[in-house]
Amino acid sequence: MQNTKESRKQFEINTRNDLLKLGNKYAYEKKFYEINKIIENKAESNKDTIGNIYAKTNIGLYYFNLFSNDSAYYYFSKAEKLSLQLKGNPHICEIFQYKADLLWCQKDFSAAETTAIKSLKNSKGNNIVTYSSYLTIANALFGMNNYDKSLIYYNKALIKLEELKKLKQYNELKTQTYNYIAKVYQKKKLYQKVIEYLKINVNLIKIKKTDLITYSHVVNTIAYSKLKLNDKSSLLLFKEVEKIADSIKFVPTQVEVKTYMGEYYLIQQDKVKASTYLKDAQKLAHKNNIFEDELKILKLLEQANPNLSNFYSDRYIILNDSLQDVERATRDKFARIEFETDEITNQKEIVSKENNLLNKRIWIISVFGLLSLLVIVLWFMNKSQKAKTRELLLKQEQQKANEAIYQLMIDQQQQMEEGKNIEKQRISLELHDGVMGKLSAVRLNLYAALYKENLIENEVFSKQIDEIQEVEKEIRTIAHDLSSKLFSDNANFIGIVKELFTKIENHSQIHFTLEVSEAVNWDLINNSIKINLYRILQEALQNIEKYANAKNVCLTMSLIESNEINIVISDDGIGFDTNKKSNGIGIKNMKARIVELNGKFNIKSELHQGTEINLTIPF
Amino acid sequence: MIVRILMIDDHPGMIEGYKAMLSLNKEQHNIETISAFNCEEAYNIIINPANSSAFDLVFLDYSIPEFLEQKIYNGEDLGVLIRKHLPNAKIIMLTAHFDAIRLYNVVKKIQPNGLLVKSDYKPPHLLDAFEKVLAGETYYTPIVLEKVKEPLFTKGFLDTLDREIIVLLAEGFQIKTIATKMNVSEDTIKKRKSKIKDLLGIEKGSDEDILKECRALGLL
Repeated sequence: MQNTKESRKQFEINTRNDLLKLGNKYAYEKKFYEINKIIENKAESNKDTIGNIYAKTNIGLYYFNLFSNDSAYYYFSKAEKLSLQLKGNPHICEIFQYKADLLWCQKDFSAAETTAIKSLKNSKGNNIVTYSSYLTIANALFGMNNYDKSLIYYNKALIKLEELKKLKQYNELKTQTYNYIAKVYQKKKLYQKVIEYLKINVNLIKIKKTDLITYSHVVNTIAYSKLKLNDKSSLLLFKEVEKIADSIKFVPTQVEVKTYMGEYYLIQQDKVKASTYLKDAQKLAHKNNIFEDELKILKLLEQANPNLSNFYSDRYIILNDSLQDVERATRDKFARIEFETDEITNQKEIVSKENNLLNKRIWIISVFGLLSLLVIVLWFMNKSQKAKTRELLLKQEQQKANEAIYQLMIDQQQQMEEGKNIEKQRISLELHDGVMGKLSAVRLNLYAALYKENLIENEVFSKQIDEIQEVEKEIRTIAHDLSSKLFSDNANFIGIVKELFTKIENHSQIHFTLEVSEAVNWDLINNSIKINLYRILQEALQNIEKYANAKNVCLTMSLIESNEINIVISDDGIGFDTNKKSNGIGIKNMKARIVELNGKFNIKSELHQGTEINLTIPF
Repeated sequence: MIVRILMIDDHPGMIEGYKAMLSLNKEQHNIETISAFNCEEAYNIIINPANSSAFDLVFLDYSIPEFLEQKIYNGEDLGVLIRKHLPNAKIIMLTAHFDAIRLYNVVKKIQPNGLLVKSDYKPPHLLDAFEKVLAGETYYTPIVLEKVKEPLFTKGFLDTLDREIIVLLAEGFQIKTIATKMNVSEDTIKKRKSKIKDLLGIEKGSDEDILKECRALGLL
């Protein structure tokens, strides 16, 4: 899968490269444009940015070659934008160079210079581009009449050119550069130097064979210098250049040479001939939008036709104005194109800035997130610690509460005992002082009455009187026993347990048996344990009362170890299935309490076989 | 001769019985009686200065309704008052109690001229006691004579306060109540209790143990 994808991509690239090669064969022809359009479309759909850059640059070059500078500029800018999106900005130096050339052609020299410098900065190792950039910078400086500086750059270009000897066009390029330098001298009016310079550096015969255009340029330069030196041999040279230019229909040279010839005839005072050449030149320049030259020609025409000087000066002014307008409009247009691409670049920058910001934010958020996580973790640890402490405190409090409850129960029990004792005492007193006293009184009165009637000797009566006394004694014993047993039901744990039984016995048919081993010293057992045991018993007895349907319940409490108590609660009720998970809350509560006491809990039960709960509690 | 008797008993029937019995006296004494049925009535008669020599004899029951206002709880307390306000009157204490402590306390405090335990004597013994006391003798029923010999008391080991505490404990009162009744602090009661325990040879134990031991010794 991966491989097919890779190979597909490679195939696309190969196709694109083949197409580019094919296109280059038709360089700057219509076919070149068409092929590059295809490459562009394919690149767009395949997201092949490199291919797209190639295609756009080539299309730009095609328009540039057609003098369609707007369109060319548009495509170069697009290519530039695409290149800037990619890592390493491929081919950016070439694109800058083309743009700089284009700007130079538009006579926007300062922009051309700036762009060429940009190209230079990006041209690492690309000698052709470096050379071209030097040349463009020099040309721009030349255009800005900065001749000395332009000379420096032309020379730099020449030096660079030495590294391009392998290039097919090496000679032509070299000649071209010499020609540019010569033109600087020409501008500086060093006409003799121009001729000598070119004679030394340019092999005219050789260049004539390889590149007629360059040859014609050089000859033109020499001829013009000769013209300025009043050397009439210049005319021959001009005629040769004119012939060449006409034959290959190279407009700029045609215009230039005809202008020069016009100038020549002006100097020779042959205004008719001068006018003819200049008019030709003017027409050509006008037709091909070479306005700069047209202006020059119009000025010359003014001189050649003093009668028509107003006409030509008007045209000059109009053209100059419109030229300035066009120039301004073009610059505006370029600026607009630049702005559009800039805007996109800006957007890209904004996006990348936003990305940076986002990255920063992500960092900040991550750091904050980690910090807050840490804080939360610490907080939780702290909280759990606190919770543990609180749990411990709660347990302590619960124990205290348990003991307090037990104490309360004991107190209550004691109060009840005291109440009971008081009641017993009251009954005892009632018997002792009341009933017994009344009986005594009855006995005394009866004795006295019988005595008065002389019946006292009667055995029946005396025996009955003695009998009453016996009853009195019996009552006295009962009363005594009652009061002497006042403390037999002491307030203690067993008392409280018995109270539990009593409460249930009061409203049910259950009979309780309590067997407590004498060996258990309840005073040694912590009140907290006792209250838990009490609750367990309460729970167990409630369960028995509610569900067991038992008649007899037996509770035994005995000592198994010196510090372990064993409690067995058994009943003869209906029992239950201990395997059922749905043990009630009651049993869960009992288990929880036993766990709290570190004890053991065992419950045995079968249906209709009763239930036995066995507890072992250490103390 | 006329014998004036103050009869203090909460049972009117009992007083009637005493009267009926005394009417049978062999010396043919005329018996004049005034009755009081509780501590308050008795107190008012006793402390009335007009009565200071109004009685030859007082029949005094031990358990009668108390007069809280004056902290008079029983016949024993009344006996003390009688000895103070009615110096000429002789006292015959008739009680249903037969425990050593109470009997000993009564003997110690008021030295009654007669001391009879109800249900322990037969009616003729009442007449014997009456005549003997009138004659200036003392008449104690045999059980009393036996009980008051208790060496713990006679040799002064358990003093009056100790004995009272034991009595009140036996009546089922808590320390707080006992302290209030005896008009002493709770601490005093606690100290006394530990002294009683030491005397009775109880190392550690509750109030119940004190009472158990007392019963075993026949003190209660």
